[in-house]
Amino acid sequence: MLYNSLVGRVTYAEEQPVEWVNPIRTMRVTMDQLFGMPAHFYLGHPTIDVQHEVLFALYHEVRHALQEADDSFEVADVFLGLNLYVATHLQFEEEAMFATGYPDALSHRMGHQDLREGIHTLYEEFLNASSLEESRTVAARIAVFLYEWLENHIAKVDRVLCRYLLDHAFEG
Amino acid sequence: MNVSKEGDKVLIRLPKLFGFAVRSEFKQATVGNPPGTKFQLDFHEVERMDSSALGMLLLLRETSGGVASDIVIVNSRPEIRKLLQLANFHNLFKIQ
Ligand SMILES: [Fe+2]
Repeated sequence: MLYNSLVGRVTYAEEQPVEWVNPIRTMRVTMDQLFGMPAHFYLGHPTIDVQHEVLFALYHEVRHALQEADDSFEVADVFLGLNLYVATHLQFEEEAMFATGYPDALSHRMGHQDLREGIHTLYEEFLNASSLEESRTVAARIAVFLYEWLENHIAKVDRVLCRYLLDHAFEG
Repeated sequence: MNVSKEGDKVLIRLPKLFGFAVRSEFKQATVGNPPGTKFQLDFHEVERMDSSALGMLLLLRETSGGVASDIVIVNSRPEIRKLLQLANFHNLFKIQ
């Protein structure tokens, strides 16, 4: 059964259908929004929306780390988290495309490859930076690169994919 | 949020609203522990969490050893477990 990203019926391992409300979206009224995803990035596919929210949270973590606030994490750790989650999310989408026979899978995967390679190249630059100033500059470039990729990819390419996955009742 | 330490284990009881507002406390509890520290995150109280909380969980994983980290999430209610599952966190954390 299809459901939108706000409210839906889902089934757990114990086969008890329950109403599900995305806990993230019900919290979008406070400071929490600072690390949130802008509304126009929601595509209506619960799994992909949640995973995109995590990518946005990590984008905000990079920016927060650059501010070196008391509650910032180290930029290097944020990059490790970003690398890990980018891989996790892209793999999810690629498996979803494969499972449903998505016709535009090849070009979609090429877009994913741009993100993987872009992040990898910038991360290498970050590790090889010879000064704090240089590593901060590279970190800022990673944040910009990530945001631009998310803006372009989610709003256009993933939107088409999500419509297809919903039509094919693929929830993941 | 309540944090207690027992040997090499850190037990964190997360609050009803697990999100941006507790990131300072969460960071304090999770950073600077010796390698090999085990974390138990008790979600019993958690009714809602935001995406910054999901990001913080990932950062805890990386700051505590990445693939070698030892983090267990316990007592999460069904809607929170569903959220963790949608985010694919069941492949990155032990969820009991
Ligand atoms: Fe995609």
